[in-house]
Amino acid sequence: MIDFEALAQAIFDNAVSALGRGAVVVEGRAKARAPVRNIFGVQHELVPNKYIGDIEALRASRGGEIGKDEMMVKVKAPTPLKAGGFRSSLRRDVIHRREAMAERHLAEYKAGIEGKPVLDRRGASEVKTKRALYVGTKKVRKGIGASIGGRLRGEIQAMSPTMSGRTAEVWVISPTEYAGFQEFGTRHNRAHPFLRPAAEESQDEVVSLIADAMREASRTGAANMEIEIVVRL
Amino acid sequence: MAGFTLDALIKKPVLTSAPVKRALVQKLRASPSLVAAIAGGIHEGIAPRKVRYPFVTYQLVSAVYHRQWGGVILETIFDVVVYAVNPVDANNIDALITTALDEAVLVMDEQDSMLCRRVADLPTGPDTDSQGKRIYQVGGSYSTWAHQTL
Repeated sequence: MIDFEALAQAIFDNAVSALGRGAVVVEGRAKARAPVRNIFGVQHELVPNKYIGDIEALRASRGGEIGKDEMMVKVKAPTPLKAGGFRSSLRRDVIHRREAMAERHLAEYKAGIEGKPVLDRRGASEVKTKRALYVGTKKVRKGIGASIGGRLRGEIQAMSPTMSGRTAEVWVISPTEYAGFQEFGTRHNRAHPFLRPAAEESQDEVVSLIADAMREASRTGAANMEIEIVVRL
Repeated sequence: MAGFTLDALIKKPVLTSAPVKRALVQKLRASPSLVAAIAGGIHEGIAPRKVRYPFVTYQLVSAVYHRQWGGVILETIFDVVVYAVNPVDANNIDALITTALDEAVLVMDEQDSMLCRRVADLPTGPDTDSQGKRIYQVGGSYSTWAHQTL
């Protein structure tokens, strides 16, 4: 005997959770597309943050071994780590690297090194006056450090899925004040759309994520039953 | 002995968003009332600084390819925006653009226009230009589908 209500609930729950994963896909694409001024020109050299959960999961999957290049900083394993402390040390590391690079480029600009400097006049001024600071967290605001450039990219985030009745929705937001000017353009600057293209390009992937999750739930709940699944976005 | 020509094996070039863009502008220019209303013309991306108001800009937002057996569908989204010193003018011209583009059949070489439809209004507000004039920015997003047989 199949409990259809429980099955439907399981399918719906899986779909909602897949929708959340889909939002993360869109967030990643939007971040990749978000314009970052090239006056700093060093964004691609940054190593992406890995959180403690990611590293522990990787370590567990490999039986305790993990490559050096897969971690940003050396950690005294297997000492128990405080997640917050480790994460902020990673953040500080990234911030220090960015600051060091920006300062180096500023020094090159001042020295008038031959060839095309990474910073232009405006970039140099913004690094010097700290106008381009991206203040991301409370700790940064307290003065522990600040990263330079990349604020629009840094603030894009996928929210958690919300449900109203039998409808689920998820938002990927860019709360930066000037995000709309970048997305839609102004009289002075042409548009650099990043959120809408990310959503459009991810549509197929999100649909297949949700469909797979629903199929998986229906298989678990009713092994011999075939359910036709239609996903609309 | 069965023969075949090499031409049959040569892949056709896949469509890009350029013909769609061209067809979109052609469609706008084909509307006499719209052309008469926009003194500053139609520009891609951004208009030069000294262009007269009102004017129209268009910008490609996204172009996604859906490949299928025997063909490819290019799904594009364009923003078409009116800049005017008067909000009434801006809204009237936007309405003319909608009349010209909504449910329009775009004419493209080697491609079939499947759909051209206004899908959203842009949430843009008044702005100030370099001379301190208040500028009204009104527009919408248009979704187009074009099909090409390969």
